[in-house]
Amino acid sequence: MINPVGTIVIALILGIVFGMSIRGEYFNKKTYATIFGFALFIDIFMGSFPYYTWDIFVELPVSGIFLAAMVGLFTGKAFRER
Amino acid sequence: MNSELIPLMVIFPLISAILLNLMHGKDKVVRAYGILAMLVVLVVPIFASYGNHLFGAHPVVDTLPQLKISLSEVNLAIEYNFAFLQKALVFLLAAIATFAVLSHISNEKKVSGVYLSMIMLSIAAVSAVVMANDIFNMFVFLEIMTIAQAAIVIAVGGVSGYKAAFKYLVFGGVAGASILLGIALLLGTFGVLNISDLHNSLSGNMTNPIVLTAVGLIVIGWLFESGLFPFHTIKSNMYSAAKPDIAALLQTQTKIVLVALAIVLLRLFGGYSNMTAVMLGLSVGTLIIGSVMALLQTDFRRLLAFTAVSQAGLVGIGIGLGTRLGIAAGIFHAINDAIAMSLLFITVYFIYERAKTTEFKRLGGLLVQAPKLAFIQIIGILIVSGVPPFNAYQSEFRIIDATIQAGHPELGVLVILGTILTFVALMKGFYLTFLKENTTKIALGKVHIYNGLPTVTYVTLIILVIACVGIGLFPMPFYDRAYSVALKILVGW
Amino acid sequence: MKFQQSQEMRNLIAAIFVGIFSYFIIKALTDFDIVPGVSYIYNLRGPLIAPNMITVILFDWRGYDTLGEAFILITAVLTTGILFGRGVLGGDVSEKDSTPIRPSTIVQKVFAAPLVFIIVAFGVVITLGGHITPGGGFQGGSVIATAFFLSVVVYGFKKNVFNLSHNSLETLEGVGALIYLCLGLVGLGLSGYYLYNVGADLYPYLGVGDTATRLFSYPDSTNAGIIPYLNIGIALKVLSGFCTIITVLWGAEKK
Repeated sequence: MINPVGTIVIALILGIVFGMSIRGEYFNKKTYATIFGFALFIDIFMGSFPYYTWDIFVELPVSGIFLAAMVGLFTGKAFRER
Repeated sequence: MNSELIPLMVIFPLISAILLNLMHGKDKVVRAYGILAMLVVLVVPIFASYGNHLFGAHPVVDTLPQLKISLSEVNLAIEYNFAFLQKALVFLLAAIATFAVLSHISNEKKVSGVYLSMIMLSIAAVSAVVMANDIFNMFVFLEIMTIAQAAIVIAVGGVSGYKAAFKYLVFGGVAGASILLGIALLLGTFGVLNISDLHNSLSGNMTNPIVLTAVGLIVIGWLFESGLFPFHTIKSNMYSAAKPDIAALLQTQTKIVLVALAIVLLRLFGGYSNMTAVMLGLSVGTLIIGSVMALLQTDFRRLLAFTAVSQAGLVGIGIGLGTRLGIAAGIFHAINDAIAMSLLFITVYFIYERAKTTEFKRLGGLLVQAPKLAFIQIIGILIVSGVPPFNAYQSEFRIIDATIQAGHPELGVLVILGTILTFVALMKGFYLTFLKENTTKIALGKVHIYNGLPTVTYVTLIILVIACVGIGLFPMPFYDRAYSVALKILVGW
Repeated sequence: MKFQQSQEMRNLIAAIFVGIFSYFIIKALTDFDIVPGVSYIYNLRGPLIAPNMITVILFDWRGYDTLGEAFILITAVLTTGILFGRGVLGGDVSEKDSTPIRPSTIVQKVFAAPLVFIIVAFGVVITLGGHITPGGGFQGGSVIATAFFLSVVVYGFKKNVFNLSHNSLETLEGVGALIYLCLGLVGLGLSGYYLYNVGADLYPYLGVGDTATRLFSYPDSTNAGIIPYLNIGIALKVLSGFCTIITVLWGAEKK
């Protein structure tokens, strides 16, 4: 957590770790779209939830960690399906 | 003075426990790492220098008026003390654990990583309880010890093991809750958790009803953890349900925890004479009931289990007297008896492994096949019964001496009576196993009991006998240190 | 006295003793004059480390106790595993898979899989924000474990969304515990005190190097040091512990 990007990177890594263990059979394009829509909605609703006082999150009222974890989960799942 | 090796005595077994659990299934790796880890566990207490360790480097600071406590300075960190007594107890634990683990690794066909990891967790927990100078940290590690010991018994399998472990966990939950409530009351009243600080703020506060409630609650926990009177059947069931070599480790842990918790109780509430009276009375009860129950058993493991419990009562008598001589003799006897009972348990382990049973009606006439084992076992019986050249004689004699000095000669008579009962019970077991002509044909022939002991077991037994003789011939270095600990408990840490 | 009567007598005696016992405890608790003691200093100096005081006390002032608490959980999880056959003496007993008793409805089947994604991401947020907002490793780990529970309940163990075997869960748990233990060893190596909060550097006279401090420092008004990393370790451990328990219990259902 050496700089503001640190938390995002760690959230991404954790997301990939969990994403690697997700099976693909319950997901198709529609599900992905739903999840992503939901995620954005929740993200805006959460605002800058863990309330870090760094500039990047004060100006951008979305939860960067949540988004990063979500992206990580998708990435991990994509890795697994390769 | 800060010593960096002190936390490693707890942290290294914890890391080993995690690694052994991860290695589970790879037989050779588990064996190799198990032996290596035990060697490290054995070596660290020897090289650690005396001193104390403050976790997280939080210092001792001056108090502020807002704290509302009567001390001039207060300890912020969790503190571990390491002096001669702690060194002796941790090393004793490590040595017995090494013998138990080595005998397990060399005699079992398949070694379970999870089982070894549980043994490691219990070693770490007991070391922490011995060294902790923080009453809450002590409670946390007591809980780990309780669960790990139950797991060790569950891993053996069988209905009796499950039953014993279930009862142990249920009562352990009650005892743990009672200790925790006692600690909470003390924390709320005095605002500190460090035992030295508590000792200083408690002095002169003994009539406070909250403190009295806390004393009662913590004494209940002490009785359970050391297997004294109301809980003696639970502990002895645990010993007899575990494999006998690990039962040696379990009873060593119990005696060490008995001493460690009793020292804490005496340091905190030593001025409260009703507490020592309760401790003394229940210990006497344990001694008598344990040795009588041992006479009645028809299984060698259960016999030894009750003997171990009654010997714990003997340690409790010494400590419960509350005098310098009594406390010193009690601590000394705890060390001696842990070694001697381990010797007996490991000899029985050998019988159990080869004959697959320890019931007297199915054993008999083993003297012909295993004379060496019989010889070592009779030495062990003599040691536990307190016969002169050995170590337990030195401490039992001092306990009797302490009872007379404290003005309770009748207690000395009871101690002698209990020792005689123990001797008779153990000789009964020896006779029925080795001397009696076997009539049932099960013990002879079909079972592969032969003269040659496995080298590891043999060496283990020889080392234990040498330790008993050595302490028996030269008791003073140990007893003097125990005496100075007793002085420190009574006068101030 | 017959057996039945003696049982009744025993219950009566037990009830009387419980009554006396509770009276003393309640009496002790009513005239209680709580002294702040060390917790006053903990609260006074805590804000230098991180805003969430619970996390600061759990992971910094009494971090070693938290390590113990975590190991109580690990021991309990391993014991549950032993109870159901992993690691008993004389070879493991294999676990059985079983299908859910009641097939789940279409709504459950459609919504469970997307929900798993969102719950996991939320758990990560709670874990990483533990030192600033209410949350932390224990809570975040439990939240992620609920995602596993949900998918097991809806899809059954064999076909659940996560492809986690008992052994991989044990690995995850071991990694979590090792993160905690090794972060403590970092403090021991650099300052000589176990679990020294390297990044926060409350006691600069210990001579912890500048590089190490900067490695764990935090670009915030406060400086949580190693606490966020400890939270990650705890989260991995808690989530895999809970998942292991449900794995074992689910396998034992039809035995």
